[in-house]
Amino acid sequence: MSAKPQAPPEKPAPASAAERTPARCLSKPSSRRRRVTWVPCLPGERLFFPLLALGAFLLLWQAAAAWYGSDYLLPGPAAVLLALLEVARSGMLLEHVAVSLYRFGVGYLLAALVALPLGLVFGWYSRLHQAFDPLIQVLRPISPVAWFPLAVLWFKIGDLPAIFIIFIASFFPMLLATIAAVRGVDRVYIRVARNFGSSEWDLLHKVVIPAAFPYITVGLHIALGVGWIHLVAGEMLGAQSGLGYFIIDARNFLRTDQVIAGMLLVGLLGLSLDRLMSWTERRVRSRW
Amino acid sequence: MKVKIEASGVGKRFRRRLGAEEVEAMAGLELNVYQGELLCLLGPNGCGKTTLLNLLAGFDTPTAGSISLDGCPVRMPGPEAVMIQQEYGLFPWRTVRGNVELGLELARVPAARRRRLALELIALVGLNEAVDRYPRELSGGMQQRVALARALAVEPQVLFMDEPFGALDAMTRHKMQAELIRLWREKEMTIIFVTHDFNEALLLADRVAVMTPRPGRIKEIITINQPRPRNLLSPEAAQAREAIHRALVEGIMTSNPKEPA
Repeated sequence: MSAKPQAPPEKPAPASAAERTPARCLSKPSSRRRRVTWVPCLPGERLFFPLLALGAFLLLWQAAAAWYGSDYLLPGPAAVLLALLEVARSGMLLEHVAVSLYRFGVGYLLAALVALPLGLVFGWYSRLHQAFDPLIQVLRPISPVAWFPLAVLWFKIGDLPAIFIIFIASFFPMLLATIAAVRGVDRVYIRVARNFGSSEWDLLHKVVIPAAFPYITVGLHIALGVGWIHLVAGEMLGAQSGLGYFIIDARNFLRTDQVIAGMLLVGLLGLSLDRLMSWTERRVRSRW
Repeated sequence: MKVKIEASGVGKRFRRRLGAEEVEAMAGLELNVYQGELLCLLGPNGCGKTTLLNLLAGFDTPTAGSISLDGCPVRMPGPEAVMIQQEYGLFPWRTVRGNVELGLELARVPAARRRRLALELIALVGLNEAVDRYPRELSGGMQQRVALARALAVEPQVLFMDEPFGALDAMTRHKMQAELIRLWREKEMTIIFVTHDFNEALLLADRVAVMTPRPGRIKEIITINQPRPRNLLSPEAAQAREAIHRALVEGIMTSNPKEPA
């Protein structure tokens, strides 16, 4: 470090460079500490605290299980992990996961297939929306679980009741988001298109849909979460397979370790689906 | 000179919301716009400049009187008279080229020709390097260039602009004003633009139509014969400025304040 020619203005003519340097060194870190609280420096640091919290939770859980001392009332994380490995090895687990994902996919896509066009129409023709809004508002607060008796009566046992419950669960978030998205399309886009002599059809698919798209994806994302939550419920009553059935089946055999293993799996899969959706959303929406 | 747009006895009343008292935005407005001129609408805030522009462009219909373009009544907006919207209204999901192609696409122009025309116009407004960028990646001036190119792509005979340079910083505004004159000369369009900036009117317009406060009417039309580029400090400019100012003040003084401001 060479000697700086200019002295700090507030300190007129300090005695030497050696005297100035320590002052600067002292003041710098303190100002940095004030500005920045904590920044991750290593890639692992972003994982450190979450892992710490998870570790603490598992430890607490294990301790509680050991203290309780009952394997079927409160199995510890180790027991759950063993149960998970056991069913995974038997090949049953993959089957359950596959069938659950299949039902979820079908229910969710069917809901999108119905809710998105309907939302577009309702959003575009406000008279129609006015007419149907009360009906929607009455149906919407009914828990999808309340449809159970009807679902089983109509569709018997099998894939269909679960698909139907997922359909109902994801339908309303999609519908409402699409209606709001279309109604919220900036009028200026529509004016511009009309100025260029746009047909109604062009207006819809070249202007309204792309303009509403980012907000429609919000509804799709919410519906994904709600639908997944109700998957398990849907499979607990009307199905002979799937993760919901797996949990109920394990309960019937008092295999609480497997119950928790099933719950854990539902959570992890739900998280993965959510992350997948966020990722696609970010990619698609980057332009808007 | 051929009359391009004729507005006679135009009135506009509307309600702000259902059940509210009717507001008379415009009454007995007379205006002839000549082919190929650059006409500026100037007036106090809320005098109905934007309303008039919307009526002339066919976005709205008058409640009295008639508006015609080339002798045919204006019923709805069309590509023969394009409006550059206040915030430009560029589609954020389309690139610059996609935006410029919009009008051609809606007019069913084949893709290859569309692309060629769009690139030509993008070059004309000087945005060659931004062809594949999205509107949000552009500055205000560049966005306006895109909006201009998009409008010019359909070869309109009339261009409406609602405070076209209001959102731009002074330097960019100056550049875009010069740009507008260049494009106007090249394309031989009729341009009608709204402003409340005296200097802008003096710098650009062939004629300045001064409006009265609500209900809006044309108080006076001041012709500016000064050749371009104009010197705003010249005696002619001072004279025109004086005339505009007088018309504006007279309009405000003589208007009957029926409505509390």
